[in-house]
Amino acid sequence: MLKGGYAGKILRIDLSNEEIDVVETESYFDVNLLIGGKGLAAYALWKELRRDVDPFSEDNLLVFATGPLTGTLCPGTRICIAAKSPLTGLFCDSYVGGHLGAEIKMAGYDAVIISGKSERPVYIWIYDENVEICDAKHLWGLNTFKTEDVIREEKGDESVRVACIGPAGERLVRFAHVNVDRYRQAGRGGVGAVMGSKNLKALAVKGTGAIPIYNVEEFMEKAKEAHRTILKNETSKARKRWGTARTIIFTADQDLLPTRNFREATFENAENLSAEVLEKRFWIKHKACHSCPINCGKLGIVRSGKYAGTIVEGIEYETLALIGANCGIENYEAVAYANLLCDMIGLDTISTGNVVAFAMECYEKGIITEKETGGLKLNFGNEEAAIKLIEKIAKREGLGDLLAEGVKRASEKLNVRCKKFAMHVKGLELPGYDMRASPGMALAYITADRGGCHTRAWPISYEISGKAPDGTIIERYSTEKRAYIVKKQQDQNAACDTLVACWFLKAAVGNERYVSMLNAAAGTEFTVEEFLAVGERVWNLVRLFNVREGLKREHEILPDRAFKDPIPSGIAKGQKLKKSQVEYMLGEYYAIRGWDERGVPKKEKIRQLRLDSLVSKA
Amino acid sequence: MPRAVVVDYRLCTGCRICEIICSLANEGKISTMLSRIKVCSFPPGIDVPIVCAQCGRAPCIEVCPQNALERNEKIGAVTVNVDKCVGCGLCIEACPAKAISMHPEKNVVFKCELCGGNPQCVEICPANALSLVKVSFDTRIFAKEAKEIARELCEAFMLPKEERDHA
Repeated sequence: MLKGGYAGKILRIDLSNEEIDVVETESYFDVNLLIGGKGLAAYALWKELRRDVDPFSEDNLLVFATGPLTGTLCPGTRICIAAKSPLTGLFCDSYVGGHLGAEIKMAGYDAVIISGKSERPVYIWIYDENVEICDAKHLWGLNTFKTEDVIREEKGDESVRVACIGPAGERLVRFAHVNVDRYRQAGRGGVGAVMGSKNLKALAVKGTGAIPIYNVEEFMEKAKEAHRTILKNETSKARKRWGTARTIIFTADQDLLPTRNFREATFENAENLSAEVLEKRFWIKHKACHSCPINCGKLGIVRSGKYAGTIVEGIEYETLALIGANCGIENYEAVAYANLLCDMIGLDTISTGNVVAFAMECYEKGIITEKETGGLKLNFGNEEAAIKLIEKIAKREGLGDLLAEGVKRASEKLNVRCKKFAMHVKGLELPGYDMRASPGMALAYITADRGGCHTRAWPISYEISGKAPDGTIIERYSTEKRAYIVKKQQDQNAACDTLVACWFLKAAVGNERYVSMLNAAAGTEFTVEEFLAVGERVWNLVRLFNVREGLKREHEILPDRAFKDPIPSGIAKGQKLKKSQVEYMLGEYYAIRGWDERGVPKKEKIRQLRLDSLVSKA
Repeated sequence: MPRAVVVDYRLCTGCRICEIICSLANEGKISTMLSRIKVCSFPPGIDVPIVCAQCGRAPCIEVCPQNALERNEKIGAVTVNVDKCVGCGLCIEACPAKAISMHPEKNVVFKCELCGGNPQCVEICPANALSLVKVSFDTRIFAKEAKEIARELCEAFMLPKEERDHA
């Protein structure tokens, strides 16, 4: 019997038959083994998807999964949106803050699992136990901001929370996001495109109920302590003032900043995109997600010039890196405008920045010409052309139609020469860290469960400080200890993703506090070891899903640029990776994971993690 | 003399920690509907916490036919006597800030009573946007609806930085 933390019910909606059903959370999955969030989503996809379903077919599942601490006083909790990804064909879990997760919990649900496909555009309206599938003809084609506004106006309630897609999601752009609370996105892996394929424009939620807490006094004490600790933590303080934007000077200094489609690793004009500039000229207000003391979000306004009137939350580091430096754009006002455009039309800024940069390199190399670009002079740094191209992608117009498929598919169709600089792993475009000067990041990218991703492991800080978590001295460009670090971080992050706790707070909060908050809220008796074991279990469950989908060792590779083009300038000038190095790290990683040489979890490992019963039951 | 939770709107980040701790501390569970303070959000990203201004000349006290609302002189707050309240809701309508709510389970109204003198929201607010202030004039001038405040705030936020700081 669930004692607290959880809402206790899971909402199931089948859009094909317009069937709505409510099941007990406990009867759906084993909360003691998987907790929630990523664990719940991974189990749902493992259990309910056959091998090889088309991500855009009615057979795919779209899961909105909260965790037992979502919506509580635990600092910074979010929601997991998961599906089989149209970019990678693998499991994809994308996370978003804002207030959606809390609202779903207060409406009485731990998760919303959406299956099937509607014949007409619809949106789902959840008002506590009243759930309706509503006509969305009038919303189809609207941008995400307008969609939110119209739904709230119709409901006559500005506190309704909306998760929706823009025109890009409707047109199945493979890297379309799900937009939440205006400026927050579940950006990666194309979960918005899956939503579009189901003809589902939005999920609108109003919850008037309560989230029960098992031991209120104990929970409040632990949660308050966590909040106090965060506010004293130096890293948190920096993030509170500068958000993620501050990272750009660090990556530029360390030759980690993707510049001009990962050709270079430092941007000569990075300072124009820095947090200092944004604070001085752009930001007007701090913004936070539910229960977060850090408020890494910054609302900004462009006051003059061509982009005057642009109001957007950001600009996040990843957007500055990928749409800024990686496209050679130094004007933060143009990046802010592109950011706003992506939010509104429904595109992930990381993938979008990659796709535009890829097209720019193709253009500069003569692989595409003005004939293909529709007259756009796609040189690096041409901000106006970049913005026009982004619009074309969302409309799937001309070259935009090809690019809407993502760099992997676009490069395969375009020309054999461009495969080398199609910067993705397993189909997911790379985020804002060059891996040539970071062997650890190289391993993190190739082993991340959803493809080229920085949020599963980020070993960079250990490489720069020169010390592994166990105290071993490591050299920055070496391969030692990387497998150990990456596994440790992946398990840790997977554990936090079951709660669902924000990555930015986990170091300051620490596992002891997470576990004590979980136990006080849910009445469970987890130890830190058991909590981390949940992380490893979930990581392996996702691996089993991906292996079932055909994932093989040969897919765990980097784009050729990482091996062939040395970093041309900066602190890591001349640095590139050797294939043998990466193969060595991967072999070591499989061994540490208890996987065989093909990357498949061994029977003993599956048993040890108590996954055997879970997997066979499913 | 009235004491009230006063909001520095410019500092509010919209995290809603105040709502969470309020309902936890006062009701033992987490719910926006049970919170005495509510953060209302408006495009393009303006957050407006609404909480009782503990008005000097309080319309809720004046309108209550049961005399269920009264000023607690020690705390400085307007409090609800649940034994007298019949849940008629006249005070909810009379409140210029819409800071009084009907309890979803009990047939009585509820509002901010300053947690008996030590408001939990003020203690925890990570943005320092909330303070407990003793005021020598009628705090009723703080009691406004969220929409109205948002409109003015929005204009203030759009001003260039130098002007904004003094606005």
